[in-house]
Amino acid sequence: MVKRFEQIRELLENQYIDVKFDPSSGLSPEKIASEFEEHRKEYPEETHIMTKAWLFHLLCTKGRIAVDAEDYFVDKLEHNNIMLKLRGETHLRLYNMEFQGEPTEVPGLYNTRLDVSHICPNWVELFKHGLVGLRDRAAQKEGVFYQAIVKVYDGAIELVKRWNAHCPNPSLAVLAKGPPQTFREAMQLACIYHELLEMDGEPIRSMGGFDQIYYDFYRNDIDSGRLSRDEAKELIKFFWMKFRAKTQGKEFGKNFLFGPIANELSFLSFEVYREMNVGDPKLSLRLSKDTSPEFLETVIKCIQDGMTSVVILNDEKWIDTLIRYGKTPEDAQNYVPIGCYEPAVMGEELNCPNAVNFNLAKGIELVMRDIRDNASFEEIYQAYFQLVEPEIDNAIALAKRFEKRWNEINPAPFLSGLMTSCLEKGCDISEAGAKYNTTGFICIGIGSVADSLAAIEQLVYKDKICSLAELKKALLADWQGYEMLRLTARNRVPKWGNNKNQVDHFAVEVADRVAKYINKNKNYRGGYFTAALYSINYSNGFGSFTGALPDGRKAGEPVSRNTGAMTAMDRNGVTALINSLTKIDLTQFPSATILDVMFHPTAVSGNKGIQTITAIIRSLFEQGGMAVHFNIFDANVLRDAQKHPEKYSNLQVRVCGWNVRFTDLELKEQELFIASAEEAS
Amino acid sequence: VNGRIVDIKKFTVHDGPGIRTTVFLKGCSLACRWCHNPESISPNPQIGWFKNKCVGCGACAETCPNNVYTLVNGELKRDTKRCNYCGKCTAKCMYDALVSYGYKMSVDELVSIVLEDKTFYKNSNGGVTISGGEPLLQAKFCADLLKALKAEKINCAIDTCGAVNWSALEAVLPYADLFLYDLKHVNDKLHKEYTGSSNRKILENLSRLSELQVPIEIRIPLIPGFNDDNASIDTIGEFLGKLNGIKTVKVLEYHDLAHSKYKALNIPYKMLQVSKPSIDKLNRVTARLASYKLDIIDEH
Repeated sequence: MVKRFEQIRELLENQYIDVKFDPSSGLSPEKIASEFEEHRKEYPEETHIMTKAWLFHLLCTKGRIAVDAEDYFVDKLEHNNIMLKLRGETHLRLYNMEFQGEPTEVPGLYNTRLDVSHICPNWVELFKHGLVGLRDRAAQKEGVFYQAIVKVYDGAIELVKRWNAHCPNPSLAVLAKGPPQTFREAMQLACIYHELLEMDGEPIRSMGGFDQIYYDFYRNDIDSGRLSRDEAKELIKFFWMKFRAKTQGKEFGKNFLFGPIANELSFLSFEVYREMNVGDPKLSLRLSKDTSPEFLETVIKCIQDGMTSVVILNDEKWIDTLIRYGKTPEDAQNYVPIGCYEPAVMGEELNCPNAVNFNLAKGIELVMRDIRDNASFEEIYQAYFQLVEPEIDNAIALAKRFEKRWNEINPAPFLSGLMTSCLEKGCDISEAGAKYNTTGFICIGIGSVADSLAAIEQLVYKDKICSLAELKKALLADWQGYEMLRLTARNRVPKWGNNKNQVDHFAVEVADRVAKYINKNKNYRGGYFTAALYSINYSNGFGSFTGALPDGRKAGEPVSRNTGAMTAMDRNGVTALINSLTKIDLTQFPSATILDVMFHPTAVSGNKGIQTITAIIRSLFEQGGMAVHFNIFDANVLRDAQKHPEKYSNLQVRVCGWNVRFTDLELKEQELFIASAEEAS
Repeated sequence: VNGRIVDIKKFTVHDGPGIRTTVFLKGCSLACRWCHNPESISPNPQIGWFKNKCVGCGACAETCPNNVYTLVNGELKRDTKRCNYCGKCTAKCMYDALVSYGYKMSVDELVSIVLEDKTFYKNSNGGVTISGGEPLLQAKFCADLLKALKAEKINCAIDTCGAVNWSALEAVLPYADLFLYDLKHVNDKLHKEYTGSSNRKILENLSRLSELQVPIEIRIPLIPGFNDDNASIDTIGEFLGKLNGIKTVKVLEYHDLAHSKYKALNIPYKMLQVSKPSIDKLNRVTARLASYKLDIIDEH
């Protein structure tokens, strides 16, 4: 008898720590490793895809297993990350072979990699065919590629049988023979597929559109009386908790998508999310004009209550963008965010969004280092593009060389077996088997670039506060001895994010030109590079390798985050920030853009707060924004603001009829406000 | 006519419905002890000095043509009597320790600034609120501004203390969609003591306004020791209950967060011993007011 979620929550949260695999159920990891070594010695000429398939099959059929009688879902196989290690070793060997010591990055400017880690399997196809159906589908064709697929699916089916023999479970009995029939069986199959695909070295990011792909199962179960509403909630909790338990909420995480049309399961899921109160999994919403206001309100209430992982996507705009960049209208409807927010067609597209990270702000530093002292502003501006564009070429060339080696590094038969186009083309995902093959190119620091260009123009050419030679010297000295000039640059020049055309037009022009420059490049897999405008946490990493910039930023400080203003420089509130951002044609960044919005709880609490957040989202999207997430300041942030007021000069404290900047308050007053923030939270 | 502005705040959500821009005009007919925007009381330009941000760099002393500032052993002294508020010092103060309050702006300039957020007003049923200070001390400017905003179909609210001539209210009547009308006390003696002025005009104007069927939201600042006792609340409730057309009331809690601005402006702060009313107190007051058949707006 399975206990209720709340009774064994702690157990479920820690289910992947020190798993007790049954020693009698299979071979030890050491034995598995040595059998694999023997196999490789015996078949040195075997293709890598077959070698991997053999190891996959060995693990599934001989590895130790564990079944927790207190869990609805079974997914534990002892594999000791042996396949991930294999991927790592192969990657390193081929990396060295390909690049032979040649660097694949320029510190602070860009880095490149093989990104195999943003997968969204075709969950609909998986549920339609089941493991057996997928095996049989591949078995109809001949050749090594199909044999590899049959081998891994044979292994997976055998594993399901072994689990079921170890501890009988009605879902497993069904899945060993065919496709899932019930809500529970569908989730059980998703658990198994997730576990085995990640074992195979292809980390999954998106679990698909939850309220769409599971709805029929849910509906049939409820209508037939097999499942109660409460039981459905319990199942979702057990299912979702696995994804938090895997990483302990520390990194990555899984994305479950909702909308655009909400149904009973959509509401039920958010009820579950609220009750679980976890940061992982991450939920996203496709918001279109057809999304019901009641569902949007449900989502916003979660955000209000601090569940800030929720990302809201501009559905119509994303679909248009995907069509513009080559997807069919039908496929574009099936997009999912495959990481934090990067859109790709579920099961049909292999986008590697993180292949290139490029710090646009570093280009400013490099230009200012070498520009001649009597250059005009226009010459500096053109020099920036002349410097950045060849570097974009270099980064793209490196990313292509990584992709060229992909099929030797990590062919993925378990994933390819689920991709219709791989089966049709007869080639693996690593050999462009997917219908769409895109490679993301992330542009970082657009705000810092715009601010710097505006500062150069104003300080040197408009107000003539200093000469170009002086500004260059100041930057080289990291502003040492030029503090007044630095503060002038920082505090007396308009900044990106405040709806000031004097600076915003630079962001628009640079974004346009860079995006067009990137998007025209073909990648190695017959698809295209797609530009993105966000930064994850690279604004810190690249920032630490970026020297002083003309906007008053000191060497080593972070560059501007995502599409937002430089830290604390959006001083005119969220509406001005949105007005700045939406001057850029964001559809030129098909590999995603995101806006972070920060609120103080007093600005968005209660019923009025729901209306306020709704209006902000609707206005952002109406003006062309693509995706947004929210942070609502809590007392801890205010504490930090007390200690580091320079970072928080934009924090407006506004309480019923008057306003003051938080950092203008005296300590005692700040304490009061922190207390009220604690009250509000 | 140009307006005397002290601040323009985008994305305000507590001054009327929806997302708004609030324009604060400079100069007030009252001088409430608890005023949270002391920089808006005087109609004249002022310069605030936030000592906690001052690093004593002396840039102001170098710039000032009237020797307002002197640097003594690295510590800044200010002689405000010499100041003619030219603002040169604030332009040079890179630490934002010196802040100018008050500037002139035309209706056209102001309209183009507030229209930047038109999409947000539309999607939130918001608009523009003219506040202060007492905006109706600049009635002609307010009327011109509101007229221009109405032409753009923007929802307009006026936040007034009511201590103005009726003609000033009359001037904006054709354009205002909502009056946010402050009521501090019905007792004239206490009113004079705490705000510096009689409440006669305030009560008269409110009575008159309430006959005209224009939307009015009464705002009562809840000030401990001044109007938070049952008797005071009852007199306010009785007065409002008798008026036609007054239905909605919002209670604004006193917070002592403005002290730093008083210091910066060198204005004595007379509310040092007063602290924020408790939630309990607030709930009791709103319940008491509600018993006079008033709808209390609760944003908590």
